[in-house]
Amino acid sequence: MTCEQFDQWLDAFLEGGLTSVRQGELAFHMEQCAECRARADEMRLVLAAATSLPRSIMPPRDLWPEIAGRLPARRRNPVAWNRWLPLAAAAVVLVAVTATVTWQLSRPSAPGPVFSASAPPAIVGFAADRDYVLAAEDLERVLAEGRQRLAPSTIALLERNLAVIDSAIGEARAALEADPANADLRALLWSAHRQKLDLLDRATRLTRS
Amino acid sequence: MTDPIQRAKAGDADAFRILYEGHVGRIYALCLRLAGDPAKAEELVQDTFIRAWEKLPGFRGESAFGTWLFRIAVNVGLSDRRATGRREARVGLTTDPEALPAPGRSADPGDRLDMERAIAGLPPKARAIFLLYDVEGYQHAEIAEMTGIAEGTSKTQLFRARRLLREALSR
Repeated sequence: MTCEQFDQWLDAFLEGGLTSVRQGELAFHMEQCAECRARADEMRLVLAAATSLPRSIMPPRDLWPEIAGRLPARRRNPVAWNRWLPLAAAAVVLVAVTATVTWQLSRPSAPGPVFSASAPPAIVGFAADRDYVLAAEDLERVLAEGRQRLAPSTIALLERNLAVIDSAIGEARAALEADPANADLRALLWSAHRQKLDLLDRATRLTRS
Repeated sequence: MTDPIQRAKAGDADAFRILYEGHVGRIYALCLRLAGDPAKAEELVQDTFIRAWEKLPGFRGESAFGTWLFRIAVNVGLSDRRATGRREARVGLTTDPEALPAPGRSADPGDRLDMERAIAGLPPKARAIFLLYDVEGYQHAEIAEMTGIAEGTSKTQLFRARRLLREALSR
Protein backbone atom coordinates (compact mmCIF):
# COMPACT_ATOMS: atom_id res chain seq x y z
CA MET A 1 0.00 0.00 0.00
CA THR A 2 1.28 3.45 -0.91
CA CYS A 3 1.04 6.50 1.28
CA GLU A 4 -1.42 7.99 -1.19
CA GLN A 5 -3.66 4.94 -0.95
CA PHE A 6 -3.36 5.08 2.81
CA ASP A 7 -4.63 8.66 2.83
CA GLN A 8 -7.52 7.74 0.56
CA TRP A 9 -8.65 5.03 2.97
CA LEU A 10 -7.78 6.90 6.17
CA ASP A 11 -11.24 8.35 6.83
CA ALA A 12 -12.97 5.02 6.52
CA PHE A 13 -10.20 3.47 8.62
CA LEU A 14 -10.79 5.93 11.45
CA GLU A 15 -14.53 5.43 11.23
CA GLY A 16 -14.14 1.66 11.29
CA GLY A 17 -15.87 1.34 7.95
CA LEU A 18 -13.41 -0.98 6.24
CA THR A 19 -13.29 -4.71 5.89
CA SER A 20 -11.05 -6.39 8.41
CA VAL A 21 -8.57 -7.21 5.64
CA ARG A 22 -8.35 -3.59 4.50
CA GLN A 23 -8.26 -2.41 8.08
CA GLY A 24 -5.29 -4.70 8.65
CA GLU A 25 -3.51 -3.40 5.58
CA LEU A 26 -3.79 0.17 6.80
CA ALA A 27 -2.72 -0.76 10.30
CA PHE A 28 0.30 -2.55 8.91
CA HIS A 29 1.20 0.41 6.70
CA MET A 30 0.88 2.74 9.65
CA GLU A 31 3.28 0.62 11.66
CA GLN A 32 5.85 0.90 8.91
CA CYS A 33 5.39 4.56 7.94
CA ALA A 34 5.96 7.27 10.52
CA GLU A 35 4.60 9.97 8.21
CA CYS A 36 1.27 8.22 7.71
CA ARG A 37 1.12 7.43 11.40
CA ALA A 38 1.46 11.16 12.09
CA ARG A 39 -1.20 11.91 9.47
CA ALA A 40 -3.58 9.54 11.13
CA ASP A 41 -2.89 11.06 14.55
CA GLU A 42 -3.51 14.55 13.19
CA MET A 43 -6.76 13.44 11.61
CA ARG A 44 -7.87 11.90 14.88
CA LEU A 45 -7.27 15.27 16.51
CA VAL A 46 -9.36 17.02 13.85
CA LEU A 47 -12.25 14.63 14.40
CA ALA A 48 -11.96 14.89 18.17
CA ALA A 49 -11.95 18.68 17.93
CA ALA A 50 -15.06 18.56 15.75
CA THR A 51 -16.94 16.50 18.28
CA SER A 52 -15.93 18.81 21.12
CA LEU A 53 -17.50 21.89 19.55
CA PRO A 54 -20.68 23.19 21.20
CA ARG A 55 -23.71 22.52 19.07
CA SER A 56 -25.76 25.16 20.74
CA ILE A 57 -24.73 28.80 21.06
CA MET A 58 -27.12 31.46 22.19
CA PRO A 59 -27.11 34.61 20.06
CA PRO A 60 -25.68 37.65 21.82
CA ARG A 61 -29.02 39.44 21.69
CA ASP A 62 -32.69 38.64 21.57
CA LEU A 63 -33.67 38.07 17.95
CA TRP A 64 -37.30 37.32 18.64
CA PRO A 65 -38.67 40.88 18.48
CA GLU A 66 -37.41 41.27 14.91
CA ILE A 67 -38.66 37.83 13.97
CA ALA A 68 -42.05 38.51 15.52
CA GLY A 69 -42.25 41.78 13.62
CA ARG A 70 -41.62 40.00 10.33
CA LEU A 71 -43.98 37.07 10.74
CA PRO A 72 -46.45 37.14 7.87
CA ALA A 73 -50.01 37.38 9.08
CA ARG A 74 -51.47 33.96 9.71
CA ARG A 75 -53.96 34.76 12.45
CA ARG A 76 -50.92 35.91 14.35
CA ASN A 77 -51.39 36.78 18.00
CA PRO A 78 -49.79 40.05 19.03
CA VAL A 79 -46.92 39.74 21.45
CA ALA A 80 -46.96 42.09 24.39
CA TRP A 81 -43.28 42.78 24.64
CA ASN A 82 -43.51 45.41 27.28
CA ARG A 83 -44.83 42.85 29.71
CA TRP A 84 -41.67 40.79 29.71
CA LEU A 85 -39.27 41.52 32.48
CA PRO A 86 -35.48 41.35 32.50
CA LEU A 87 -35.06 37.84 33.79
CA ALA A 88 -31.85 36.74 32.17
CA ALA A 89 -29.66 37.18 35.23
CA ALA A 90 -31.62 34.71 37.29
CA ALA A 91 -31.99 32.29 34.42
CA VAL A 92 -28.27 32.01 33.87
CA VAL A 93 -27.84 30.60 37.38
CA LEU A 94 -29.68 27.46 36.47
CA VAL A 95 -27.94 27.34 33.12
CA ALA A 96 -24.59 27.29 34.87
CA VAL A 97 -25.67 24.47 37.14
CA THR A 98 -27.28 22.22 34.62
CA ALA A 99 -25.22 22.93 31.52
CA THR A 100 -22.29 20.98 32.90
CA VAL A 101 -24.23 17.80 33.45
CA THR A 102 -26.09 18.26 30.23
CA TRP A 103 -22.83 18.58 28.38
CA GLN A 104 -21.72 15.20 29.66
CA LEU A 105 -24.57 13.53 27.88
CA SER A 106 -23.55 14.99 24.60
CA ARG A 107 -20.09 13.44 24.48
CA PRO A 108 -18.78 12.11 22.23
CA SER A 109 -21.41 11.93 19.50
CA ALA A 110 -23.27 15.09 20.38
CA PRO A 111 -20.67 17.42 21.76
CA GLY A 112 -20.73 20.65 23.59
CA PRO A 113 -22.68 22.45 26.25
CA VAL A 114 -26.28 23.31 25.72
CA PHE A 115 -25.57 26.94 26.38
CA SER A 116 -22.53 29.04 26.01
CA ALA A 117 -21.14 29.78 29.44
CA SER A 118 -20.71 33.44 28.73
CA ALA A 119 -23.88 34.00 26.79
CA PRO A 120 -26.90 34.12 29.07
CA PRO A 121 -30.20 33.61 27.37
CA ALA A 122 -31.20 36.79 25.68
CA ILE A 123 -34.87 35.90 25.82
CA VAL A 124 -36.51 37.22 28.91
CA GLY A 125 -40.07 36.17 28.39
CA PHE A 126 -41.57 32.84 29.21
CA ALA A 127 -44.57 30.85 28.26
CA ALA A 128 -46.97 29.03 30.49
CA ASP A 129 -45.56 26.14 32.46
CA ARG A 130 -47.90 23.71 30.78
CA ASP A 131 -46.70 24.72 27.31
CA TYR A 132 -43.20 23.64 28.15
CA VAL A 133 -44.46 20.46 29.73
CA LEU A 134 -46.33 19.61 26.56
CA ALA A 135 -43.34 20.43 24.39
CA ALA A 136 -41.17 18.17 26.56
CA GLU A 137 -43.74 15.39 26.34
CA ASP A 138 -43.67 15.69 22.59
CA LEU A 139 -39.91 15.20 22.54
CA GLU A 140 -40.11 12.41 25.10
CA ARG A 141 -42.46 10.52 22.82
CA VAL A 142 -39.99 10.81 19.95
CA LEU A 143 -37.16 9.80 22.25
CA ALA A 144 -39.04 6.76 23.51
CA GLU A 145 -39.35 5.48 19.96
CA GLY A 146 -35.59 5.50 19.47
CA ARG A 147 -34.54 4.71 23.01
CA GLN A 148 -33.41 1.20 22.19
CA ARG A 149 -30.73 2.66 19.96
CA LEU A 150 -29.00 4.33 22.89
CA ALA A 151 -26.33 2.63 24.97
CA PRO A 152 -27.40 1.79 28.54
CA SER A 153 -24.73 4.14 29.89
CA THR A 154 -26.14 6.96 27.75
CA ILE A 155 -29.67 6.25 28.94
CA ALA A 156 -28.46 6.26 32.53
CA LEU A 157 -26.68 9.57 32.02
CA LEU A 158 -29.71 11.03 30.28
CA GLU A 159 -31.96 10.01 33.12
CA ARG A 160 -29.61 11.44 35.72
CA ASN A 161 -29.50 14.76 33.84
CA LEU A 162 -33.24 14.84 33.43
CA ALA A 163 -33.64 14.13 37.12
CA VAL A 164 -31.46 17.13 37.94
CA ILE A 165 -33.53 19.37 35.69
CA ASP A 166 -36.85 17.94 36.85
CA SER A 167 -35.76 18.54 40.40
CA ALA A 168 -34.97 22.16 39.54
CA ILE A 169 -38.37 22.51 37.87
CA GLY A 170 -40.12 21.04 40.89
CA GLU A 171 -38.31 23.32 43.30
CA ALA A 172 -38.99 26.39 41.18
CA ARG A 173 -42.69 25.50 40.99
CA ALA A 174 -42.90 24.98 44.73
CA ALA A 175 -41.18 28.27 45.41
CA LEU A 176 -43.47 30.04 42.94
CA GLU A 177 -46.53 28.71 44.70
CA ALA A 178 -45.35 30.49 47.81
CA ASP A 179 -44.28 33.63 45.96
CA PRO A 180 -46.16 33.80 42.63
CA ALA A 181 -45.01 37.31 41.81
CA ASN A 182 -41.31 36.56 42.10
CA ALA A 183 -39.88 37.23 38.66
CA ASP A 184 -36.54 35.59 39.45
CA LEU A 185 -38.25 32.33 40.32
CA ARG A 186 -40.26 32.45 37.13
CA ALA A 187 -37.03 32.98 35.22
CA LEU A 188 -35.49 29.95 36.90
CA LEU A 189 -38.50 27.84 36.02
CA TRP A 190 -38.36 29.09 32.45
CA SER A 191 -34.68 28.33 32.17
CA ALA A 192 -35.11 24.82 33.60
CA HIS A 193 -37.80 24.09 31.05
CA ARG A 194 -35.53 25.25 28.26
CA GLN A 195 -32.72 23.08 29.55
CA LYS A 196 -35.01 20.10 29.51
CA LEU A 197 -36.21 20.77 25.99
CA ASP A 198 -32.68 21.17 24.72
CA LEU A 199 -31.47 18.04 26.47
CA LEU A 200 -34.36 16.00 25.11
CA ASP A 201 -33.73 17.36 21.65
CA ARG A 202 -30.09 16.30 21.86
CA ALA A 203 -30.98 12.88 23.17
CA THR A 204 -33.50 12.44 20.37
CA ARG A 205 -30.81 13.26 17.86
CA LEU A 206 -28.49 10.72 19.45
CA THR A 207 -31.01 8.00 18.70
CA ARG A 208 -30.58 8.63 15.01
CA SER A 209 -26.81 9.11 14.91
CA MET B 1 -55.11 22.37 21.35
CA THR B 2 -52.09 22.86 23.62
CA ASP B 3 -49.14 21.45 21.64
CA PRO B 4 -47.02 24.48 20.66
CA ILE B 5 -46.35 23.02 17.22
CA GLN B 6 -50.05 22.59 16.54
CA ARG B 7 -50.81 26.01 17.95
CA ALA B 8 -48.06 27.63 15.89
CA LYS B 9 -49.36 25.86 12.80
CA ALA B 10 -52.70 27.46 13.51
CA GLY B 11 -51.08 30.89 13.63
CA ASP B 12 -50.28 31.34 17.31
CA ALA B 13 -47.11 33.46 17.45
CA ASP B 14 -46.74 32.94 21.20
CA ALA B 15 -46.56 29.20 20.62
CA PHE B 16 -44.05 29.77 17.84
CA ARG B 17 -41.97 31.72 20.30
CA ILE B 18 -41.75 28.65 22.53
CA LEU B 19 -40.39 26.74 19.56
CA TYR B 20 -37.97 29.56 18.84
CA GLU B 21 -36.69 29.56 22.42
CA GLY B 22 -36.16 25.83 22.37
CA HIS B 23 -34.18 25.77 19.15
CA VAL B 24 -32.49 29.12 18.62
CA GLY B 25 -29.21 27.98 20.18
CA ARG B 26 -28.64 25.19 17.68
CA ILE B 27 -29.78 27.28 14.76
CA TYR B 28 -27.54 30.19 15.71
CA ALA B 29 -24.54 27.90 16.19
CA LEU B 30 -25.03 26.47 12.71
CA CYS B 31 -25.59 29.87 11.10
CA LEU B 32 -22.59 31.39 12.86
CA ARG B 33 -20.32 28.68 11.55
CA LEU B 34 -21.84 28.68 8.08
CA ALA B 35 -21.61 32.45 7.77
CA GLY B 36 -18.42 33.02 9.74
CA ASP B 37 -19.89 36.35 10.73
CA PRO B 38 -22.15 37.09 13.70
CA ALA B 39 -24.22 39.83 12.03
CA LYS B 40 -24.90 37.59 9.04
CA ALA B 41 -25.63 34.70 11.38
CA GLU B 42 -28.33 36.73 13.13
CA GLU B 43 -29.85 37.54 9.76
CA LEU B 44 -29.84 33.87 8.78
CA VAL B 45 -31.45 32.89 12.08
CA GLN B 46 -34.22 35.37 11.50
CA ASP B 47 -34.73 34.19 7.93
CA THR B 48 -34.80 30.58 9.13
CA PHE B 49 -37.56 31.19 11.63
CA ILE B 50 -39.55 33.33 9.20
CA ARG B 51 -39.34 30.56 6.62
CA ALA B 52 -40.25 27.97 9.23
CA TRP B 53 -43.31 30.00 10.16
CA GLU B 54 -44.33 30.13 6.52
CA LYS B 55 -43.77 26.41 6.00
CA LEU B 56 -45.14 25.26 9.32
CA PRO B 57 -48.68 24.53 8.08
CA GLY B 58 -47.07 21.87 5.87
CA PHE B 59 -45.09 20.28 8.70
CA ARG B 60 -46.45 16.76 9.12
CA GLY B 61 -44.17 15.54 11.87
CA GLU B 62 -42.39 12.91 9.79
CA SER B 63 -39.23 14.08 11.52
CA ALA B 64 -38.70 15.84 14.82
CA PHE B 65 -39.44 19.53 14.67
CA GLY B 66 -35.80 20.32 15.49
CA THR B 67 -34.57 18.26 12.55
CA TRP B 68 -37.07 19.89 10.23
CA LEU B 69 -36.05 23.34 11.40
CA PHE B 70 -32.37 22.50 11.09
CA ARG B 71 -32.87 21.55 7.47
CA ILE B 72 -34.49 24.88 6.80
CA ALA B 73 -31.50 26.62 8.39
CA VAL B 74 -29.09 24.67 6.22
CA ASN B 75 -30.97 25.66 3.10
CA VAL B 76 -31.25 29.27 4.18
CA GLY B 77 -27.52 29.34 4.86
CA LEU B 78 -26.53 27.70 1.61
CA SER B 79 -28.97 29.78 -0.45
CA ASP B 80 -27.54 32.90 1.05
CA ARG B 81 -24.06 31.89 0.02
CA ARG B 82 -25.21 31.26 -3.52
CA ALA B 83 -27.22 34.47 -3.68
CA THR B 84 -24.58 36.78 -2.41
CA GLY B 85 -21.80 35.25 -4.42
CA ARG B 86 -19.41 35.67 -1.56
CA ARG B 87 -18.27 32.12 -1.51
CA GLU B 88 -14.67 32.70 -2.28
CA ALA B 89 -14.50 35.98 -0.45
CA ARG B 90 -14.97 34.13 2.79
CA VAL B 91 -12.12 31.73 2.24
CA GLY B 92 -9.25 32.55 4.46
CA LEU B 93 -11.13 35.08 6.52
CA THR B 94 -10.54 34.81 10.19
CA THR B 95 -13.64 35.20 12.24
CA ASP B 96 -13.62 37.74 15.01
CA PRO B 97 -12.60 35.69 18.04
CA GLU B 98 -15.02 37.63 20.22
CA ALA B 99 -17.85 36.44 18.02
CA LEU B 100 -16.94 32.81 18.34
CA PRO B 101 -18.46 30.51 20.92
CA ALA B 102 -17.30 31.06 24.44
CA PRO B 103 -14.70 28.63 25.73
CA GLY B 104 -16.30 25.31 26.44
CA ARG B 105 -15.98 23.03 29.36
CA SER B 106 -14.49 20.17 27.45
CA ALA B 107 -11.58 20.91 25.21
CA ASP B 108 -8.82 23.39 25.78
CA PRO B 109 -10.42 26.73 24.87
CA GLY B 110 -7.41 27.66 22.78
CA ASP B 111 -7.69 24.49 20.76
CA ARG B 112 -11.37 25.03 20.21
CA LEU B 113 -10.84 28.58 19.07
CA ASP B 114 -8.24 27.33 16.61
CA MET B 115 -10.75 24.81 15.35
CA GLU B 116 -13.46 27.44 14.93
CA ARG B 117 -11.06 29.62 13.00
CA ALA B 118 -9.94 26.77 10.83
CA ILE B 119 -13.56 25.91 10.03
CA ALA B 120 -14.25 29.55 9.16
CA GLY B 121 -11.40 29.36 6.67
CA LEU B 122 -12.84 26.41 4.76
CA PRO B 123 -14.47 26.88 1.36
CA PRO B 124 -18.22 27.29 1.98
CA LYS B 125 -19.43 23.99 0.57
CA ALA B 126 -16.74 21.95 2.28
CA ARG B 127 -17.45 23.85 5.48
CA ALA B 128 -21.14 23.07 5.32
CA ILE B 129 -20.58 19.38 4.73
CA PHE B 130 -18.00 19.17 7.51
CA LEU B 131 -20.37 20.88 9.94
CA LEU B 132 -23.24 18.61 9.02
CA TYR B 133 -21.27 15.36 9.09
CA ASP B 134 -18.56 15.75 11.71
CA VAL B 135 -20.11 18.31 14.02
CA GLU B 136 -23.82 17.58 13.70
CA GLY B 137 -23.62 13.88 13.03
CA TYR B 138 -25.71 13.62 9.87
CA GLN B 139 -25.00 10.83 7.40
CA HIS B 140 -24.11 11.47 3.77
CA ALA B 141 -27.51 10.31 2.55
CA GLU B 142 -29.21 12.77 4.89
CA ILE B 143 -26.88 15.57 3.86
CA ALA B 144 -27.56 14.81 0.22
CA GLU B 145 -31.29 14.98 0.81
CA MET B 146 -30.95 18.11 2.90
CA THR B 147 -28.74 20.06 0.54
CA GLY B 148 -29.66 18.65 -2.83
CA ILE B 149 -26.15 17.46 -3.65
CA ALA B 150 -25.14 13.92 -4.56
CA GLU B 151 -23.93 11.60 -1.81
CA GLY B 152 -20.63 11.25 -3.62
CA THR B 153 -20.21 15.01 -3.62
CA SER B 154 -20.85 15.09 0.09
CA LYS B 155 -18.13 12.49 0.64
CA THR B 156 -15.70 14.36 -1.61
CA GLN B 157 -16.31 17.65 0.16
CA LEU B 158 -15.89 16.03 3.56
CA PHE B 159 -12.61 14.47 2.46
CA ARG B 160 -11.44 17.86 1.26
CA ALA B 161 -12.58 19.69 4.38
CA ARG B 162 -10.90 17.27 6.76
CA ARG B 163 -7.59 17.54 4.96
CA LEU B 164 -7.73 21.30 4.83
CA LEU B 165 -8.45 21.35 8.55
CA ARG B 166 -5.67 18.90 9.28
CA GLU B 167 -3.33 21.11 7.35
CA ALA B 168 -4.52 24.28 9.03
CA LEU B 169 -4.36 22.85 12.53
CA SER B 170 -0.97 21.22 12.14
CA ARG B 171 0.76 24.44 11.07
